[in-house]
Amino acid sequence: MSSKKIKIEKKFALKEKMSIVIIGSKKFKQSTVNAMISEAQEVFDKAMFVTIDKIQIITTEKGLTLKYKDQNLLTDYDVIYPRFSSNDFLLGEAILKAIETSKAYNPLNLKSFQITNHKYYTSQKLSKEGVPGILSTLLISPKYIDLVIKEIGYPIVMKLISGFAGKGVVLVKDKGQMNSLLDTVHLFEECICMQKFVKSKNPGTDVRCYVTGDEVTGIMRIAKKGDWRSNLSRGGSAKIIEMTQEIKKIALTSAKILNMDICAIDLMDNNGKYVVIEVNFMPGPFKKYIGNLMIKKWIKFLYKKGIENKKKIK
Amino acid sequence: MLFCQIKTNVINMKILVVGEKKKNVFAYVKALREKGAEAKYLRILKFVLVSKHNKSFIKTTIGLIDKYDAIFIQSRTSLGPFIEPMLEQIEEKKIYSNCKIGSYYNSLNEPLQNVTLTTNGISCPNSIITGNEKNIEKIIERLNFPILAKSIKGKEIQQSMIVNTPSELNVFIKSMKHEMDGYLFKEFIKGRIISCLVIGNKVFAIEQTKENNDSQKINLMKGKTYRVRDDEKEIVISAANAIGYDIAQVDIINKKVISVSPIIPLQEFNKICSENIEKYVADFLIEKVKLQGEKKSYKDDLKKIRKAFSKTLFGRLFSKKKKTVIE
Repeated sequence: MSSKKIKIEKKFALKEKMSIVIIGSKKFKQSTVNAMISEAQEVFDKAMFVTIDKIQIITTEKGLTLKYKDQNLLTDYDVIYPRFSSNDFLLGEAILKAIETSKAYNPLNLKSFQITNHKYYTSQKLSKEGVPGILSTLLISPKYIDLVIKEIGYPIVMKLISGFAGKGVVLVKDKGQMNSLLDTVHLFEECICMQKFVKSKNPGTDVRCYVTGDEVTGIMRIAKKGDWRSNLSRGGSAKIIEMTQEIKKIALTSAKILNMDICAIDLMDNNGKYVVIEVNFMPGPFKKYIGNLMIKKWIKFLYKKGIENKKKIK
Repeated sequence: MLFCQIKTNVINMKILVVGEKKKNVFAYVKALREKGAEAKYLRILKFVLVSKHNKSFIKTTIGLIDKYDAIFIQSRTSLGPFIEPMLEQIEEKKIYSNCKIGSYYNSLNEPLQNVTLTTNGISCPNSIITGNEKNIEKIIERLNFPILAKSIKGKEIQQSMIVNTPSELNVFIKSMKHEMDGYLFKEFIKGRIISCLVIGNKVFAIEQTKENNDSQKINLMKGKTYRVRDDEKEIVISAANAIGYDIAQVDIINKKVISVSPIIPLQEFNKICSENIEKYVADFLIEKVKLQGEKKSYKDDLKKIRKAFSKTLFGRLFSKKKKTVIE
């Protein structure tokens, strides 16, 4: 037997058997899931995707179980990767709390889910640590809007605190517009987030930084003509870009503050300086524009961290 | 001890009471003032949170809240998305609050509250949380009837009903007009609900006079005062702390926790327990401020010594870089 063959066999014998479960949203994109499972099966011995609604959280005197069919996801997997959105907030929080009791590796956590699903809270958490962001406010009663206007001034971006994909975002140019909008928004949500409108050097464009551990991949997003929001789901486009050290540092620092190993940080150019506009707990991989690049990176990273975690536990 | 004024003297203490209606909380303001503290009430609607580069602050119609030593919050849990970032700012400013970061999210989300209590070793009724109503009969085989069934849509519990048989459960599920995001099924325990008011290590309790045969609704005014046993006391204090409260109402039945809430039904507890609960709350808050003041004082002293030293010749010679004074 050649020495090369022996080396490969030894490596195979030493290879840890690793398993991953990806917990997704009830409404998921099939092509993304297919790609993730396909990549995961190349690397992991066992890979499963399950939607959040099919999992049962069982609490008894004996403790806690996260059940799917006959499996206990808390003990039967080495890596648990939660990929659900604010639509699954109530169940998602409970599942993330349950996952905290598991020894499996998880790149995200309950606190980061709660913060990133709250536009103002994200801004407060990051700006406190010196990450450049947008001047933001949060209020309950439209009666005290003057306290906000004194801080921000017009134009203002009004946001529902857990909006996503550009939904629930309105640009308010003056007091007249504000008064009519405020009462309407207040009907739907008790808390209203207002941010200063960021004057970009390149309007309708922003940079999405995918953070995967210590690695950052930059994508520039360009808005559809006539829309000031650059979300791809609203008809924009995207391309990979070379990032400056400034952007990389902001992205990595933000991810670290929020204790997230995998996430996407959206930045905008505000008169020559980049500011964080949003952090995504469940970033889409932009398959249409960059293929499976991010999916491959995520899976490889999860495998590596899963192995490290498993060795630590042993 | 050398330079700063330690807040052991009640007269120097500033305590803010935050609520939604003055009549519900003003008793606390009065009790604090009677003990010599400078207490003020402010409606939570009058708060605005602001986040700027390197700085965030809480703005109100009476100015910033930084001067307060303690903030006592009595607001409903649905304001959690506002209160949670506010709690983080309060903690950052080293102001004492009866609610810890995360407490309002824990209360707002019943499934999360369930899981939090269980992971902290606190006994609750057996429960199953699921997002799917398919195969529901099989899913709930693990539970014993009667079951308290709740449907979840978005961030809220939509409906709840006690079901005694699998067919009643099916009726409940089928009655949902819209697709639900999830369901919470809890074993319904029959017995007398005991509502406990936790204030630090003190517990006051009201026991319902009748068994809860068909409802988990509690009417405190129809209860009677109850002397909690040591084990029950430990359970309710642990439950309050696990959720993140120093002061809370914790309801138990047969030593199982069924709910934890930050709002104190003051009138009811005062009447049934024949107490002045607001005075206990005031004592507790003052004690907490004193403890906090003692912890802060030595750190503040060191900072002031360092500052004074940096202005001397030796200080200038040996210091590596200038440090700005912390306000």
